[in-house]
Amino acid sequence: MRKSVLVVGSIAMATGLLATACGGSGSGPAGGKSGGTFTYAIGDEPETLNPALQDEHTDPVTEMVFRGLTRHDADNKVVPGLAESWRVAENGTEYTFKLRPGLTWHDGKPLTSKDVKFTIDTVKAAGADAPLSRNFSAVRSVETPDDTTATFRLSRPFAPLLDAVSMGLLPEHALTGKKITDGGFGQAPIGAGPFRLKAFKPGQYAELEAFDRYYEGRPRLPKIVIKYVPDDSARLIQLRNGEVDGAHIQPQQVARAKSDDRIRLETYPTADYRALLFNFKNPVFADRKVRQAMNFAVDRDAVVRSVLAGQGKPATGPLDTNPFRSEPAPFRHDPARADELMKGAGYAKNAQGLWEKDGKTVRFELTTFAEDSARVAILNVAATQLRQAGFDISGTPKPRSWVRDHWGDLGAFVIGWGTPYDADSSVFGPFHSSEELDKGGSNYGSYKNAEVDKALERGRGTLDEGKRQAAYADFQKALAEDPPFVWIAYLDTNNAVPGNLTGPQRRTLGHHGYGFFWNVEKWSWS
Amino acid sequence: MVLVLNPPLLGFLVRRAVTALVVVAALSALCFALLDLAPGSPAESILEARNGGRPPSAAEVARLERHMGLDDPLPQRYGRWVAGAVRGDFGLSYGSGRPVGEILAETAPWTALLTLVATAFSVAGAVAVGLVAAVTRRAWVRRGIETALFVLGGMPGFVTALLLLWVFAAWLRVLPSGGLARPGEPVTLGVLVPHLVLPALALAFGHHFGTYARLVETGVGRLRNAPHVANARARGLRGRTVTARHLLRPGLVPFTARLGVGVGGLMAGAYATEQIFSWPGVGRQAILAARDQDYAVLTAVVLVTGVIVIVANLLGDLAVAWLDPRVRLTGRTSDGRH
Repeated sequence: MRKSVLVVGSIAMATGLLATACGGSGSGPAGGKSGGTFTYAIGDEPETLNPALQDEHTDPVTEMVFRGLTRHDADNKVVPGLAESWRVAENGTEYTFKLRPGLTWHDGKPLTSKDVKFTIDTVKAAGADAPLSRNFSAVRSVETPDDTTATFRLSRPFAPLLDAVSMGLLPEHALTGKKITDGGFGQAPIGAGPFRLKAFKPGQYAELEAFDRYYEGRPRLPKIVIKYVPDDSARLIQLRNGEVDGAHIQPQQVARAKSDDRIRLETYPTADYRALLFNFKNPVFADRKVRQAMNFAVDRDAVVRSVLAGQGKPATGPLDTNPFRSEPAPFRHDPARADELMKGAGYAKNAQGLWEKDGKTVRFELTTFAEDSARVAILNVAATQLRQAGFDISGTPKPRSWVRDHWGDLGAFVIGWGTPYDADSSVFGPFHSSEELDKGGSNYGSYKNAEVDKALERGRGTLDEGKRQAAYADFQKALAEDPPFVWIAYLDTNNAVPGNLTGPQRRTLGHHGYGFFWNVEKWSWS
Repeated sequence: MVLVLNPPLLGFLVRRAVTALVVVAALSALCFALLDLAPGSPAESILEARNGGRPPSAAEVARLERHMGLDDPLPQRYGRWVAGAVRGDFGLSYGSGRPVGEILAETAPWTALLTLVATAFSVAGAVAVGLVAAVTRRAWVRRGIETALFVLGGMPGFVTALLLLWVFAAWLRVLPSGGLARPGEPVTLGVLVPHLVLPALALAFGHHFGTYARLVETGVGRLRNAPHVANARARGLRGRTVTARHLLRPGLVPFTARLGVGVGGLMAGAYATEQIFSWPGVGRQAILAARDQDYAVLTAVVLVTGVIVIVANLLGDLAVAWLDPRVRLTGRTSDGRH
């Protein structure tokens, strides 16, 4: 989640102020009173509610308005969505989806396989406009033999396809002749999800109504309001005042929110992790023992306790919270092990207590987006820990826009990625050598390891579950031996809801800000 | 007294209007050039937003830049923009795809309202407090006011805003903490007024209130022992008449001249205030646009802000002209400027 400098500035204030504020008693959460409306405050406001212009982690409104052919269950496994079933050809290049009978869009028009074809064709054609188009580059064509059948023909097997089609379907009748970036549709979208958008007031709120003809039946909450309150402390005040029933809250606010017994806290793990990326253009990182040593030198628990106020877990790799996780890497806070590795690499402590070899220390600059207060805090704590452990590190946050132009010049960087669903996504890009920065990819540190490359290619090229599990196990093992990052922590996400709201179910979310409403059709007032 | 548009004043106005046009044109060019110099690319920001905040690949960025025409040379892009702007077409927002004009029409009135009410609070409060401090014979009252103004002047705007929020919304719970109305509630006057109080107070107190009050105090205090005031008293005029006509009116000139300029600062303050009170104005829009490098929106917001500041300065000059006959009659400001 991105924050303006202003908001960041006021968090510090808020922590101090709210320690004494909010003491009195008042109206309290209005749950179940005002006609059953659930009002929820969130800081980030999307610029568009079009799911094809977001990534797989959509904002709550888009999440509730749209549905895809597939969706994810509480274990992040793919389950039927608008498609009731599908068949995959033996060689993995043909997928046939069967739509549920009698599906309708929010405006009452029937939803057919033509809309499926339209969605895929449009996203593919949008190219640069829609980053998600990369998910459909293997799709050669979509055929619609009848109204409820859509057949995808692929040019090569692409295992993450069932994941990719969880993207919300777009209605052909509302978008014909318009560009995918059309502002009208982005502000007044028509979907087939459990809630229909009644009003969207940018800068204020979105009002949603239960959709009578939702395929699983009418949701039990009649109305939901998503209120955009960018200031963190203002959001907590509104929650405690009863101006809103629920809110997304920051780790530092958890203690205050917990002290109100009308509020229940929903704390979910996420796949969203933070790590220190090494730039392999810097020869100081050439020796893998040095990188392993740093992974033993950082105290992840201390970072979680201080920076995340306990709202997170130590990280040891990119798939720790993923269904494809295997044996975790052995990284933990172990200064003796770090020293041993450094000595093994030929380093010795100099007069300043820094590791030195051939007159050179392990000297590099760690940076991150200055606008992201949580990342800056991680930078400060990690840089201090590594310096105390003998690494000649300096920490300097830089503006986001500067970093964007200087990926290739960075020493190390506090990065964030996350892979909640298929193990291929947000893993192939950051770690495969074909995705190196200079080749235009998202492997920003130019990491290169032949075993990692091979495992990733195997994982994406077969549909066999067992073979895929084995491929990603090999990948995680290779990554632990030749670490591309210093793994730091997975973030937890906190949402406050009134005590009488039932239904929210814990799941590993893909993003620390979004995803809380994933099973909203089951929520109700008790 | 009615302000008569005599020839010198009319000339003064025309000169000012021409200058304003030139300033707006220069502002747009400067804004374009500066944004062009800024590091990073809007295409990268857009893709990052569509990627859940994760960095996009260089190839994706290059593709979108070509697609959006962002790789055209600066003069060509500026020419395109001017051609649209003169017809009132400011293009489409990079992020939401909506017409920028529509976004402005939706947000600018709320910022105008907030700034206007805050200015009214500022003027009323500063004149009252400043006048009391200037005419009181009790030293402790004056010193008390001066100390309070000093503290207020040293407090950043957002701190004032959070303090007000804490006292009136969280602790006393007498005023709502943000927005125009409760979601879904129609924005009627009766609903709007209580929602407007806290942001307007925060904006007024957080920005230049201390300066204004001190300007009133010194402006009026300077005249307390002036010969014309002594003369008026000697003629046996009532105390109230002396205060209003001979002290307050000429004493307000420095304050009024500063007020017009101060609206610019108030606009800047509105950006922060709107963010804290979830006020759907141009300020929030500007912060979002700056964050996402939505230059289509940002350029338009800068221009609108510029026009408001220029108009406010002009109104300030007119108010000074009304208060100060030298300006009214000769078209010169009190310090001799044209």
